[in-house]
Amino acid sequence: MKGRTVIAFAIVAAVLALVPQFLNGYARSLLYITVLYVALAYAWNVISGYAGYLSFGQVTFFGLGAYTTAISVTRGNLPWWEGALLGGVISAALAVPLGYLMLRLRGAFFALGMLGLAQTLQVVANSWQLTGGGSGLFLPPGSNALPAYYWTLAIGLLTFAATLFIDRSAFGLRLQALREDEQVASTLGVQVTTTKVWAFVISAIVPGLLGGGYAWYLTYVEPVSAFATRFDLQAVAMTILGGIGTVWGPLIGGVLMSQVSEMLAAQYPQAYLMIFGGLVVVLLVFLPRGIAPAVSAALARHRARAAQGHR
Amino acid sequence: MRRTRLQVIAAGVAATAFFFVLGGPRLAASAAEKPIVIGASISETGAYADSGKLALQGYQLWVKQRNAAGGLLGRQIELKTYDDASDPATAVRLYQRLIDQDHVDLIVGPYSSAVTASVANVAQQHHMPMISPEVASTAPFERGLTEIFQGIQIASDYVEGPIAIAKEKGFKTIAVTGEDTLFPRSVVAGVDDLAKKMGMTVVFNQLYPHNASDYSSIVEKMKQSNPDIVIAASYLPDSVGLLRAMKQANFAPKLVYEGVGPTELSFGTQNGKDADGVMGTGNWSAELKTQGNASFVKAFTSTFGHPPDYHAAANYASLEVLGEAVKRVGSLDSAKLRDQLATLTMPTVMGTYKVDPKTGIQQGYKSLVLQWVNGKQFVIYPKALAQQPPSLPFVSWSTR
Amino acid sequence: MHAALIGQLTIDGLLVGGVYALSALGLNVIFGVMRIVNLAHGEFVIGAALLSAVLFERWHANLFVVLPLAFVLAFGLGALIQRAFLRRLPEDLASAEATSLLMTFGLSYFFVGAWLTFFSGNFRSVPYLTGAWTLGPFSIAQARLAAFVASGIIAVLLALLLRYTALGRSIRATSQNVQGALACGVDVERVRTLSFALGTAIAAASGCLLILIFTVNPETGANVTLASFAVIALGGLGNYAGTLVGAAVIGLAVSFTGYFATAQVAQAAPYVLFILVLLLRPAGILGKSGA
Repeated sequence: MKGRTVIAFAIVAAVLALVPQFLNGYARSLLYITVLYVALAYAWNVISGYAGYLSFGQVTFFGLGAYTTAISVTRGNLPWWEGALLGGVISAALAVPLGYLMLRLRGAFFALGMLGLAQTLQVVANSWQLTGGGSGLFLPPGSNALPAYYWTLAIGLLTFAATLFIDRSAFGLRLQALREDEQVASTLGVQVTTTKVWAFVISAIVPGLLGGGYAWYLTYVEPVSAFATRFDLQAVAMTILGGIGTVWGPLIGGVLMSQVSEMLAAQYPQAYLMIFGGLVVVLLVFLPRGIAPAVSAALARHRARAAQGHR
Repeated sequence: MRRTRLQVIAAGVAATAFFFVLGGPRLAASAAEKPIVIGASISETGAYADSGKLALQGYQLWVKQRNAAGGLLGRQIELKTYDDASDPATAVRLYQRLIDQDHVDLIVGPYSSAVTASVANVAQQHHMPMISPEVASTAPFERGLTEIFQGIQIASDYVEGPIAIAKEKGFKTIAVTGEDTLFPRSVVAGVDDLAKKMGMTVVFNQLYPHNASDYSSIVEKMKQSNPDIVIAASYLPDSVGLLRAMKQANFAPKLVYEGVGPTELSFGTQNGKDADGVMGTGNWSAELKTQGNASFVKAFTSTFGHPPDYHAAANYASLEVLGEAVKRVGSLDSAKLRDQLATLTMPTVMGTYKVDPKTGIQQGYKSLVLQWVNGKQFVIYPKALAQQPPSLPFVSWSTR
Repeated sequence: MHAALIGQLTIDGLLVGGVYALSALGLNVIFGVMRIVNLAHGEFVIGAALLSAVLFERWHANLFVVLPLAFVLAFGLGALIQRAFLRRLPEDLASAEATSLLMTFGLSYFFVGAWLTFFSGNFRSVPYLTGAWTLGPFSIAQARLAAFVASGIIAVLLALLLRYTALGRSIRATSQNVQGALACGVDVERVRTLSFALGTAIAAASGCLLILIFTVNPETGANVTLASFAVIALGGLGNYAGTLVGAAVIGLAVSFTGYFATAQVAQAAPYVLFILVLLLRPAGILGKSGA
């Protein structure tokens, strides 16, 4: 079973790595954005799906990564991917103390606290000399989307692998235990704080790394777009559509929604917000667990019927 | 169980890959009777929606007039635009879509400095020359890009007028503020040096963030610094908010300058009598005696039911320049067009188009200082173009 | 420091605080009864603000005519949202809280998009009562004072409603103990609908007053939501008197940091206070928000 998973994983990775060779710039860009959103959705899924701490401010780390990269490139003359790596390291380093503090909050307060954190960082970026204030930072022009795509793809695949691991490991079980009831989990011997801080760090390091690729892709970083809460909206909507707290949810939801949103965004950007927002609400009413569990259930039924037929 | 799942996923990936490949390169149509397509994204929603709409209409009017006059190179012209909602990432993707997917023949710039800064990189990659009529900041042009050309006055020139006027009246102290984003920052960047040169002092200098909604504290602060003149690098919403906060704080310095906000006509409708005396930088005025200006104003007003503003004029002028460049080159060859745009000097409704061939920074267009007097805008600077002398000092709020 | 200046900043801060207080009261009514943290709250505030700005532009509609209109419309909208969506939240409380958060998060973006469609992305304000009265060394903005007074009147009306009417008693009973309220024959479902509608309507009312002071566009709703939550975090969830104190603190913090630090710091002040308060006394708040 393990071997098959690895082979399938390698095939998918190879296909995704080769596809851009056959694409024009726009399609590459679209592919990049799709992979980016799927990866962000996977990251969000760890802290909010598996651990049950809804965060509307993971974009904090995305912006942090973008700025770290822009600063490393413009002020430190580092290659961009080193800056992006640094962005991941800083995000992780920051996520540990932040996790200890913020994860003391529950439910709405954690969600809002994270939202407030993103806003605060945006203000910091807006007023600091190092970040170029409201003017932002320019990266060297003339780059193309491919390096950013491969970077994002690699991180996306790693995040997917991490999710696969979480879903099947004792760590994942501990996360789900504390999602259901922290006190019970604690009495069962789960190190509640350590476990959830780990989840938070995973959910922070990924956007931290992805932000660097985004900075390179855009060649320009400024506070408003680097800390846009829309990134979180997208991650939330995609994960819910696909199935929150599942392995395949973010992938299914992410791919489906990127296509829909691209079709809409070009002509009706405001309708696109309405549709994303409205979809979240409607899904929660009619398909609260998302597509992935529904598909699994259908497959299971199908197999059961097939098995009966054999008998 | 797992194998089936993986099969489903593999099928999904294959389908997605297929989608992308299908959506990929298509054969470019080259038939001569096909229209020439000019592509752009404009912010019709988002923070800059107001001005974005007028900018778009500037493009539309030129295309309409040109088509009526037989088009370009014997072909009709079609304008293809998307709405980037003032978001740079969206704008980047839209320009790639315009170039790679829609196969537009020419592109022109989007609205706002931040959006253009990102889009310029796309133009560079595709070797598509692009005139940007909405980027007054020079920063995007100083990155070694070879394909973008500034279609509007440079921002650092804006404050020259109000400071010269203040100097003439013997005003001494300046309070500086503005929105903390790329364009307003470059407007006020040169104030310190300029003030020193003119023997004036900057007594206050602090910007406020994008999306600010309450200006009372910053106005109170300016009031405490007791300046003769206020220089604010503002867009429309913040210029209205600032002015209102000044009235509420009963703060009336001798000269009030509010960036590009006051050039918009709705500055007058939103402020009523309070607008009187406020100065702003216009890059253009309906009264200018530039080539074709009077007929542009007339045609614009009759087409859209409202008069043009400088955004409309700048975008219209950019297409005038692009059209002329195409005519001179005689084809849509982008390398030749690029060289043509870099060296061309020609009269437009904005003034004389001329850029620095190296950076593409505008050198020809000159900015104007406008002032609201009795509910109307008048050009007051430079003197050669002034419709009337500046009306100063700014009238105190209690005696209006 | 100049006493007159301190006084001026205090006046400005407190007057704005009045509007924050009203908006936060709306949130508090909803939370008290439904245990739902409504992330779309700011969108209702902004929606009403933009509506009154448009009505003023078109017909010079008097704000105090528009306010009741917005109140009624928002009441209906709130009832509709509760009936159509929020009522269908799952039964168990833990997942109900998560689902309601996600749902109101979705609603907030739905309405940002809706307002963008209806009102465009333009920043709007209402040039109504733009003057100021001079009182000794102070200048009192007419619009701010009007907004403050109107907020106060609505808050008092709300207090009277909660204290002396049957609905008010049901609301308070449901806030304290759902089982108890059920046992006493309170139609909890109806009370929830009315509370959500009432909270939404109060948000709309505060929006009509906010536009007297602020310049807003459809994308500024999140700021309002966060500021209102900061007020509640300071004052305590479900604590109406605390809300007033919290609002005053936020108003003053914005006004003073705007003067003594920068406008950027002032913009972040509500969030920073919000996070600090949450972190310094999470137990107190947790005690009320949990379960």
